[in-house]
Amino acid sequence: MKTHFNSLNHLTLIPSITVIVSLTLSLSVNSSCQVPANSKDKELVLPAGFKAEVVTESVGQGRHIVINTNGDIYVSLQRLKNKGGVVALRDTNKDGKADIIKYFGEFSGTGIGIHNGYLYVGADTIVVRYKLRPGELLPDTKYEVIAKGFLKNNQHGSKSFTFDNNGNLYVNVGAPSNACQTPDRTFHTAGTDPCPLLQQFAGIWKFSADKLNQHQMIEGQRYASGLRNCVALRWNPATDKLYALQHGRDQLHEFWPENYTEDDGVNLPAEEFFQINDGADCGWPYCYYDDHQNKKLLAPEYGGNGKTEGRCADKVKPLMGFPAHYAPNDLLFYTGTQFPQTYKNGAFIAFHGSWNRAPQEQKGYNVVFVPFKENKPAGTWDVFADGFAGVPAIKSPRDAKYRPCGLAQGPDGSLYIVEDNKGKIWKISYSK
Amino acid sequence: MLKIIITALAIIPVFISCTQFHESTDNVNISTELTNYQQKTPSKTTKPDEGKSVYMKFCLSCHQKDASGVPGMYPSLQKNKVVTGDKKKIINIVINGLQGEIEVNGEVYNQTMPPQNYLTNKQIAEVLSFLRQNFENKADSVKVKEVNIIRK
Repeated sequence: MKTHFNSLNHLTLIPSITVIVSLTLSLSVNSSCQVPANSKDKELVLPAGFKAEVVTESVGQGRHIVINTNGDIYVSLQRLKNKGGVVALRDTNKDGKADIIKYFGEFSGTGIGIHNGYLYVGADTIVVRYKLRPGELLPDTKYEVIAKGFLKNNQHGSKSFTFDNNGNLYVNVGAPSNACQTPDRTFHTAGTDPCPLLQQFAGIWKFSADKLNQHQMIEGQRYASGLRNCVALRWNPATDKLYALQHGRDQLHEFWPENYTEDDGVNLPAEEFFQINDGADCGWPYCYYDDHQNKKLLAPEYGGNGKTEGRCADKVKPLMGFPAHYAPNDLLFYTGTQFPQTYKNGAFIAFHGSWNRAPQEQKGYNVVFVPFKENKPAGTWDVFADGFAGVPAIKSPRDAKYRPCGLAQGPDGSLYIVEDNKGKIWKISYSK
Repeated sequence: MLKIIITALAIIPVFISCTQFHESTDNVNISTELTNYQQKTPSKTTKPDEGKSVYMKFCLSCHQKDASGVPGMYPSLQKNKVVTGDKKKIINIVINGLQGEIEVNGEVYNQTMPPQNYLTNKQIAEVLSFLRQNFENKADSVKVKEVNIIRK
């Protein structure tokens, strides 16, 4: 009797289970028709052997990320959330998920890093640091000013930074402009020559990492110039040199249609990956890089027509170009031993994804990998992590579910990725 | 057997949703794309085709073809109360541009909009009428004489 009852019950359940399973699958596949490779997280697509675990789902607009030696995670936020400009995360039970999440600090922005026991934070007009306290997730509440005097930009304002091996700090100071036109971003307007913005913007400034209250224009040194905006910059410990990626200029076709077709506007200029030495001039706003011709060309605002090199012939050329408008937002040289040997000392690059490829599809919402040999890329780049957008085609940036923005390496050699739509963080690890 | 039925039934909606995706992501020309976003009953007093072509040529690169903008940079013009609100204000935004942080439908944007003062008064009236009657906006059209009054 008992058995009979149970069987009947099972039978009545069949249709409902079927409906639930169908609906669940339908909903999950609707957001992404991609097949994840050996991944705990259903969204990211990774090479074989790698898996993605979700550290946290939505901490706010997370920009850059750093991991302390004990595994504590710190993420800078684009805007204050819960009265904090930084979010700190700790995984106490070592299951990969953050179980303590705390907000602190009065400065929000992009730059974040750890140096000599301090947590450094780069807001758009200032770089400050907080003393880390051993064993404590939250640092001292009192901050010290390291670098100041940066003017407020209403575009390209991110003060991302990196440290070298000799106690110096390198800060990105982006240009508040597309191509140094006045007014900015207008049809057929010539660029100002010389471009006055180069004095205080469009470069990488060097400071002492430990000296307080340095002013950009007094103690700060303009280390490199002619860089429109390098949100992604990193000192490579293996080569002891600075590397950075520039967000290339926009709107070649919209403002100069007589020399640039719609396709040119979509596919030019390349995003440039530089190795940068003291005094480098990388050419902005006078020049842009055409990776199809492998040349630095004169910008149309300065008389260029898509062919002329002019004063650009002697500007610093990139190591490598990436597709136009992909928006490189972070760079990480992998020093761990967890990943296969190919990855050792190679570069991971987080691309935020384009907006300036309209009316064509938007692209580049991914993390790529470039193998390195000594100082230079060895071979071409490959997409390492994909699926962030959650849709097969991105008609406009708002379609993208996630936009990769920051990268960090954990103490066990795992790679962490943060995105800035919702603030999701993934931990990528490898096992044979 | 039970397993097979569940699997088979589960596959159907998966197949449908993926098929729909591919159809909607085919390369369509911008004109068709924009038409899809437009409401089907344009007001008699507007000329949506002219407004659409002004939008495609001068506005689309930032505000995008579906007018959804770029998060953090350029505001969405869909269901936008500024777009459907005071005409003087929006005519002025087009002529003089806009600078500084703004909040639209709870989202913050901060990027410069350059003055679009190279547009004729007729083009401004047309593009604003187009925006006010598409992308889930519903408001009356902007007439050329209303732009004339502001830009004498």
